[in-house]
Amino acid sequence: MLKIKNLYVNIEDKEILNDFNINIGSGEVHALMGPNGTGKSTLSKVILGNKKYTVKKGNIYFEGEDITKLSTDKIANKGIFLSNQLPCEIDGVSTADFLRTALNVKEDVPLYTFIKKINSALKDLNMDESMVHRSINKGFSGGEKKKNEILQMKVLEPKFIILDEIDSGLDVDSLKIVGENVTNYLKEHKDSSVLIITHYPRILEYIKPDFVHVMNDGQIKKTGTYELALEIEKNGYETYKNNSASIVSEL
Amino acid sequence: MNKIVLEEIKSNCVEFKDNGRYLIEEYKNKKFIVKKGKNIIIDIFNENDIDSNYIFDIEENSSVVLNIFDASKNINRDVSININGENSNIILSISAISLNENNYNINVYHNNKNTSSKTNIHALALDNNKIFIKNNGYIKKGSQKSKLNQDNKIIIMNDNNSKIEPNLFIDEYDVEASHGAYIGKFDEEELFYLNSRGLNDKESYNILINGFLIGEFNIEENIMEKLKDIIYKYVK
Repeated sequence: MLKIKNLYVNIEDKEILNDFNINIGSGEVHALMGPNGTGKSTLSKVILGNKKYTVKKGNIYFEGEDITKLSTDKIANKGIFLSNQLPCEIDGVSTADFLRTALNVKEDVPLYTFIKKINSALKDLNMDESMVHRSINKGFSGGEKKKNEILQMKVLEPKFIILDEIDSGLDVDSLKIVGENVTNYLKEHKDSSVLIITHYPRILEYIKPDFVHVMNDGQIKKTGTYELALEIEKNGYETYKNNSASIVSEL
Repeated sequence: MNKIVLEEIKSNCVEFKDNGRYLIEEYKNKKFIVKKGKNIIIDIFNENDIDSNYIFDIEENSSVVLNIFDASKNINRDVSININGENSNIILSISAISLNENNYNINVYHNNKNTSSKTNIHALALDNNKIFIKNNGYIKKGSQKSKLNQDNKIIIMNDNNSKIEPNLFIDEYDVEASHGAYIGKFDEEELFYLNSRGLNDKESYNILINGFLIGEFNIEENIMEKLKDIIYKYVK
């Protein structure tokens, strides 16, 4: 579904991604782990075509199509969704209003269908109805912002989902709710794939990954299964920090 | 909704003796008195170039919401709010599109105890147009427990030719006062956020501009739609 080949990315003069490669198949869940500042969040924004970053070399393919140079909205409309690490606040724009506009870009959704869809997502996420009528993320707690991202995912129904540190700012109960919602989404959308970016394996208890990758210095250093996440929790990232040779498994 | 046509009122003064919502068709200078214990909402929507000077005197235990929307080429708008009575409050929201040069001179006077004011001025300078905002907040001596808040923002689409002067004049200790001022473009992160949900730049700017100008207005849905049409006319 998503394939990244030999990707080199800079922000201004600083190289962030350095020969990054990954291949995520349809229906697969991948976890990307690594210490702070290794380029995980950069990767998520580059996939979505953020103009702040410059792709120096390499390509991003989605369902066989090269999307490296597409604009963010065109990438999103192909079915790629990013749940942001730090969702921004937008004054005066309600989640419900902008979400309806976003949904109508793709297809003409009747108001009743939209209301039904958003109310069902609110219920699943244990969110108060008033939250979607308030300015986007304004005055929301960290956990509420993350739930609001998952609500948008449920309404927009993407094919490929990037969860960038969805677990940060969530308390135990909210983490469980978010985890269950993503898992249920994947049961209902069997072809959808997920890339979970995280520091901790806890979220992976709820959303079981097929593959776990360890990233450092802008590239994947090791690929394994869920056990690799547990090993990282036990031993930390020190081994990968000093390992200059890439030991990426071909998927 | 009650409509007040200022040109038809000979007296220099308009008194609000009943609770309710009022739409004001404006004309030059006028004084407004909000009588004791009244809750009123006043809407002023303007697409003309009429200079105006309005003074509001608010008596005790009253609550006022004043929404002003301008889409003008050249306007000089002076608004003075005198919160004279105890336990009274005002929310003043001014939203403006400058089609050339708009000037705002706002003065809010807290003249009694336990009064509160919130002033939101959101203005959009299209092309290289200008907006000048002078927003003065006063808390007079003896106005303990009063709260004053100013939020002044100008979004520029090109070069900046605009200016904000946010001033606080506080002459009492036991009060809360705060102000903020911003001149700049829309945040790139906000634009990316909307783009990442599938909205192109035009659709995203449309949402951001509507939200910035009228998102905080407490107005009826049909009026909101009319204002959106006006905004669309100028920013399309």
